Amino acid sequence: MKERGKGKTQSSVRGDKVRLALEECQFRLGLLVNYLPQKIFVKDKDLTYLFCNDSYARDLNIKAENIAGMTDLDFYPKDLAEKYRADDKRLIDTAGSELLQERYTLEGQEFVVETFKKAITDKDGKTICLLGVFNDITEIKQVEMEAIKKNKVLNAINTIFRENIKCDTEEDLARTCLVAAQEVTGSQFGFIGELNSAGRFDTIALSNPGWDACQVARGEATLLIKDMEVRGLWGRVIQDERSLIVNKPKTHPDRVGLPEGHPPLTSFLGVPLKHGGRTIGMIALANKPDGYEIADQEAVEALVTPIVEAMRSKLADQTLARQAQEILELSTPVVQVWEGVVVAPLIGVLDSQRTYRFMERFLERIVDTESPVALVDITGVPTVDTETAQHLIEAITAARLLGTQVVLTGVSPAIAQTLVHLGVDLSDIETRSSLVGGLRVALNILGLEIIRKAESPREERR
Amino acid sequence: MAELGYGNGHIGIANEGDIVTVRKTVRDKAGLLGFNPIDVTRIVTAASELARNIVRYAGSGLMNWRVIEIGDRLGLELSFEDQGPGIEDLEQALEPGFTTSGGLGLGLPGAKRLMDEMEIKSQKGRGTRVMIRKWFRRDIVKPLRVDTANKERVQRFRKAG
Amino acid sequence: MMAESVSVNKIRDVLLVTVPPEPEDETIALLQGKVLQAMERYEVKGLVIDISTVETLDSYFARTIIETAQMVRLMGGRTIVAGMRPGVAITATQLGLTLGELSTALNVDRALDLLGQETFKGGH
Repeated sequence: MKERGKGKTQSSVRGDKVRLALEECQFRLGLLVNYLPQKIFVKDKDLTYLFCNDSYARDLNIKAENIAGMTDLDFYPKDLAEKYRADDKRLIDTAGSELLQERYTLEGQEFVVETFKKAITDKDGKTICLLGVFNDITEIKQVEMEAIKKNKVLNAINTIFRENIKCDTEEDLARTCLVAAQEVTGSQFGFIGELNSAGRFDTIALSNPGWDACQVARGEATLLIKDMEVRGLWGRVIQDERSLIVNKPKTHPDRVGLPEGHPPLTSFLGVPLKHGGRTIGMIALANKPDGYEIADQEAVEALVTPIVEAMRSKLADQTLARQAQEILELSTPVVQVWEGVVVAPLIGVLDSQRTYRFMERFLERIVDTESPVALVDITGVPTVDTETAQHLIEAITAARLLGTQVVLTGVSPAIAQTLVHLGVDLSDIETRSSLVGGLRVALNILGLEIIRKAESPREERR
Repeated sequence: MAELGYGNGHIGIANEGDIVTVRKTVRDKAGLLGFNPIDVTRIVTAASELARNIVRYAGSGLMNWRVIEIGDRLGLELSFEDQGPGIEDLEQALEPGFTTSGGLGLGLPGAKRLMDEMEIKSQKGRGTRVMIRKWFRRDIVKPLRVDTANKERVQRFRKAG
Repeated sequence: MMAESVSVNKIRDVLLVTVPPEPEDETIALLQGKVLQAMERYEVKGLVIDISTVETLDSYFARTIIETAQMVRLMGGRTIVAGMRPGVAITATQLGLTLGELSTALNVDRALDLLGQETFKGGH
């Protein structure tokens, strides 16, 4: 080896240094490019491979250093290779670039690959070579799909809770939940139902395609779908208390025939609705175009809790409303306080429905007891608006039609003021500020008087 | 909304005697549906007023009745049609006390108050159609009576799945 | 359809009419006629119209009764409508029917009592 330094000019030494630096740089770059996970290649403008990295070479089952001089025809089946070459040529001719996502299958697995190809040009715009970079984004894509799906489920859950506030009845809410579940899974129709106290099944929501296609008249079908025996595919879900996917229902041993005109089942997904560990019902979905997968089952299972919670809270609301109603009922008794006098102490707010009930009971009582006088006491009615006032007047007018005299009692200064301001005409009706005052009027009408008992019994004997 | 198998029907109205037929039929159907006695009276009275309007203004007409259903609510719908002179001013006609025939002027507005829903279609010189509905309030006891003839049909469907 | 016949009876010095359950228009018209005839024939204090079996009271019926009462008043008598059913009372109220100055009583007995309290013009 020639000794360095001696026999060399200054410039040549510098030249050596630069060359070394360049080599070093190239080496490092080469390492970098080689070990990048992306698959990289460079092709000549006549579509021959110039260079590629290890990742790319591995896919083709060769060593990177051996790729120079080879073409796609050496690696891929003829028509595929021709396609690649045609694409490449196009880019080279147009000095363009492209970025796309392609799916392909390798050894039974599906991959999603992002392809970037660019024609590298010289300073005159002529293509020198073609650069290709492939990025395997299969995992990223999967995560994306998962996120979208989770989002769908979250949206569905949100919808359920939001509708819970808007829906008036359990049935309305169930219908909304069903629609949400159908959307999340891409199903064509389905139903939601619950077990009743007899252990049979009541459907509380049935989606439309099921209805219109079925030739059963709507009214009869409502009678039809309550109190069903638990059986069939969907019955299996309840009995086993587990979700069930059947993508070929025709051959399943548990299938049962469907009513006339019902669209045929091509796939089925049933998920039990549970509360406190007990199965209280189920949601059934059907006819997703390509059949159901575990992901669908999991999505619906994620919806079960909000559905059950929403429906129970709606049911609780309804029960509460009904009970409140019943309590209000109890608080409008019509009592006979003496022969010929009935008193109706009203308590609380008088709405239309309540007034109807009250009126009926009030009048019936008057007729039953044959009372010539009736007192309507509104001490317990906090506010009187136009509607309430009208209802009261209706009740009183009706009672008077029967031939009974009515006195409105318990009219406080505040209510008196309100009534006058509202322009309510009570000139025809006898009113008093207290029940006692009303009783006095009643006794007067009946020609009765209350007399204090004599103080000493001796005086009486006189 | 669907018609239940409880039926539907119609009654021709051409004279005062038909008004009684209307009342009897309506009383019958309303009772069968389970309306409480006072609601029955309301419906019959409204029907009587509207039937009377037909006799008084159009001379003759028709009442159609049918049982209706929305969700789990049942109701009775009555429709009074005639080819009479029509109502010129609907708003006026609905004012209590307004009358063009010396009556009490309470028929239309009264029927509206007695029922839950009312729809009027009228064209001067062509005719009038008044439709009234009352919904059965299930919370007032009386259970639903199922027409046994229909029960069999229902059971056949149950077996099918 | 034959009109159900309605009869007008004289009880003490009062006329009593009992209206059948679903009166036809003809029946009601007949009622008015008979009442007026009876008013002419007898000296009575007034008229009691018993509607305790009437299930529907429509505007025509109401108008006829009011008219009849007006006529009876002109002939020197007072009219009381007795025994209105609760359902009829409610419906009438909602229909907007008022019986105006007509008095009402819970039943025929009460009505008779009420009329009995009136001073008879003829002096008793």
